[in-house]
Amino acid sequence: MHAFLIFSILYGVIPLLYYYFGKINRLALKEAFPFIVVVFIASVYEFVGTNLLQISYEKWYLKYKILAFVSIHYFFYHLLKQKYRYFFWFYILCFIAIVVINNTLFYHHNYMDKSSYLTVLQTIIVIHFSIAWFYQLFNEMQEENLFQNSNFYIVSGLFICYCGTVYLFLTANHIYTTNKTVFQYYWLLNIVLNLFLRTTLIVAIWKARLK
Amino acid sequence: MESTFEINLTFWLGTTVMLFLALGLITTVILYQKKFVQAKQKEAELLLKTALESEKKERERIAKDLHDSVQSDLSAIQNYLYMIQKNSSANTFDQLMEETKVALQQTIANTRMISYKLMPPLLETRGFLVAMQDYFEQLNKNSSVHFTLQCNTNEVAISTNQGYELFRIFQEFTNNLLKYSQATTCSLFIRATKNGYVFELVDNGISFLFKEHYKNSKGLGLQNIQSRVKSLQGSLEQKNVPNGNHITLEIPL
Repeated sequence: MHAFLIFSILYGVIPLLYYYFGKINRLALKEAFPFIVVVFIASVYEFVGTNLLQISYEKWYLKYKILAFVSIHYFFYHLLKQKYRYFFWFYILCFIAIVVINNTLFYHHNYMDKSSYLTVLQTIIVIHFSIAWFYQLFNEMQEENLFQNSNFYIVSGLFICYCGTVYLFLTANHIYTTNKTVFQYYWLLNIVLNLFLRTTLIVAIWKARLK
Repeated sequence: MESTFEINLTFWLGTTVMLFLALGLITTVILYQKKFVQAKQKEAELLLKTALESEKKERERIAKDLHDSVQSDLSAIQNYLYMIQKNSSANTFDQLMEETKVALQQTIANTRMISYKLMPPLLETRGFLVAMQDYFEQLNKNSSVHFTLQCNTNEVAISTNQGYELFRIFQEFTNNLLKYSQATTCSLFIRATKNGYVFELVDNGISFLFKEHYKNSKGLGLQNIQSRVKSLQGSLEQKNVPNGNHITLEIPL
């Protein structure tokens, strides 16, 4: 279990390494680049900070949520060609509001609960913008083959990963306090879906290789 | 205990439903894509037909140019020489020689123009940037539109084939501009970036929605631009500007 966890954490460094050392059409990945970097940072931090130095995840979760939020926002903002500006601003305000509420009204809540509120918002954003992107894709009727489009893999990976883990985050604190051993098995879902997301990132970069 | 059961039920039910919805949506998208690919295949066939049609039209144009300019000029020269041979009095000799000289100069100019239109010679010898500068100079001489070119590097390091495709794209855009846009200025900005090159063509003419026209157009020009952009693995975008047109083309290195 522990080895699998370490593998899934270190797996996150591969996308950025492949991006830098592969012969890649970087233009095709310009929207996703910040997210690839965030995945890399998260992997390194989780391996060094959480795993080796045993620093509590509590200190990291908010930083990670902010980085993920900004990079995913950037990704969709450019993918959707800067349309839906009001929605982007609305979600930014929602995110700030949740962070403020978490630190004032809910300051006594467990960090897992606080993290889950942000995950719910992030899931809504990913669902909303993914559907908007699919709509835009077919509306413009330009894409020849979806399987050759790097962004399709990233959007699908984000969509499945966030949809699959939202209930886990919502119930995580309760499951954890009830039975820590059982929680590990539930957490496997998060690890598997994160592996899936990172695999889609690698496939996306591979699809953007220069032929 | 009951609460734990409810939480577990919520977790499994919620996660299953969400995953089912996510996978369902992506499957729908992929199935829709299949239909879309079929439509694209038809479009590819149309593009091929367009390419063949373009080639045929190009041949017709060259034949017409040769017939109307070079051939008639050569016929005129032949007539002058015939007249010189028949009528060699000193008075008319100089005049006929002068006219023959003019006709020969005209023929050379026409041949050069036909050759230039087929393949700009500078493209191979001096590269894309010089060929574009030369092309804009020609346009400045022969039209009322003021063309300018600005580049943040000394050279555009691309292959001759890529240069040819780019040249044809901008030739098509400028031809359209001269025909329809009533613009007075047109600028091409070339920027070298980390990932490739960005070309921005900006004019102050009548706004022209490239993608809308491309969807509805049966003409060859816009189809040609799109297929050349694809062959360069580039992306073409039109920016929303209050006046004129702003077209951005990005190509990877």
